[in-house]
Amino acid sequence: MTVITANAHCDGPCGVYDPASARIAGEAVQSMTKKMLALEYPTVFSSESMAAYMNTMSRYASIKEEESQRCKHELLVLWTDFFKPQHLERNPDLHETFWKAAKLCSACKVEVSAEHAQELMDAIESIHNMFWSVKGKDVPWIRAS
Amino acid sequence: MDTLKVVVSGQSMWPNLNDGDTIDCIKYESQEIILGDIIIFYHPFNSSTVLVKRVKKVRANEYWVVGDNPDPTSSEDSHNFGYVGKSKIIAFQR
Repeated sequence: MTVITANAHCDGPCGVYDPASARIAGEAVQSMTKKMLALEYPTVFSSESMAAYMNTMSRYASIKEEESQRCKHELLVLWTDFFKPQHLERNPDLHETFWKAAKLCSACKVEVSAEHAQELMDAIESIHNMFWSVKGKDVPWIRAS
Repeated sequence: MDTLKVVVSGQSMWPNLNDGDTIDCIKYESQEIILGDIIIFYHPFNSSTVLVKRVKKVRANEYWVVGDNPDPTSSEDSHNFGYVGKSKIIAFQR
C-alpha cells in the first residue's frame, strides 16, 4: 500500500523560536540592576562629578528599561506563538509561569530590585526548560554573565 | 476503491490527529467531498508539499480547509492560501 507524509504545521516553522533571546535581555536587566545598586555617590561634590554620576546612573536605568521591555516582548512571543494548547498537557503551569515572568519584567523595569531581577532569571530558566522539553532536546541552561 | 496510508507530520490537526499518526485514506477520484472530511492535498503555492486539513466550507469545485488545532497560529491553511481546488486533492478520509 502506498504511504505518503502530509504536513500539519503552522506557517512559521517552529525552529525560528529560541528562549535565548529572552535570556540575554534578562541578563542585561539583572546586570544593570546590580550596577545601579553598586554605583557609589560622588564623594567630591562638583558639577562635573554630579554630571558624570547622573549620566552613568541614567544610562544604566535607560538600558534596564529597554531590556526589560525587550525581555517581555521575547517572552510574549514564545508564550503566544510558539507554545500551543497541546503543550499544556505536559506543562500545566505554563500560563502561570509566563504570566509571572511577564510581571517580573514589568517590575524590573520600574524598580531597582536585585531580588526581582533574580526571580526573572529563575522564571526564564523555567521557560528554557519547558521549551527544550517540548522540542525533545536536552539543552543545558547556560548564562553569558 | 483504492486506499493509501498517510503519516501526519505536525500538530495542526491536534487533538484529533497527532504528530506521527498514520491514517487510512481513500484515493481521490472525483468523489464528492463534504463538510468535515479530512483531505490530503498539494499546497496551492508549493506543489512539492503535501498537507492534511479538514474541510470547513464547500463551494463550486473548491474547498476551504483548516486545521483542527484551536490555536489560530498552529495551522497553515485556507486562512493563508485560500480555497483549495479539486485538482490539488490526493486523498480524503470521512
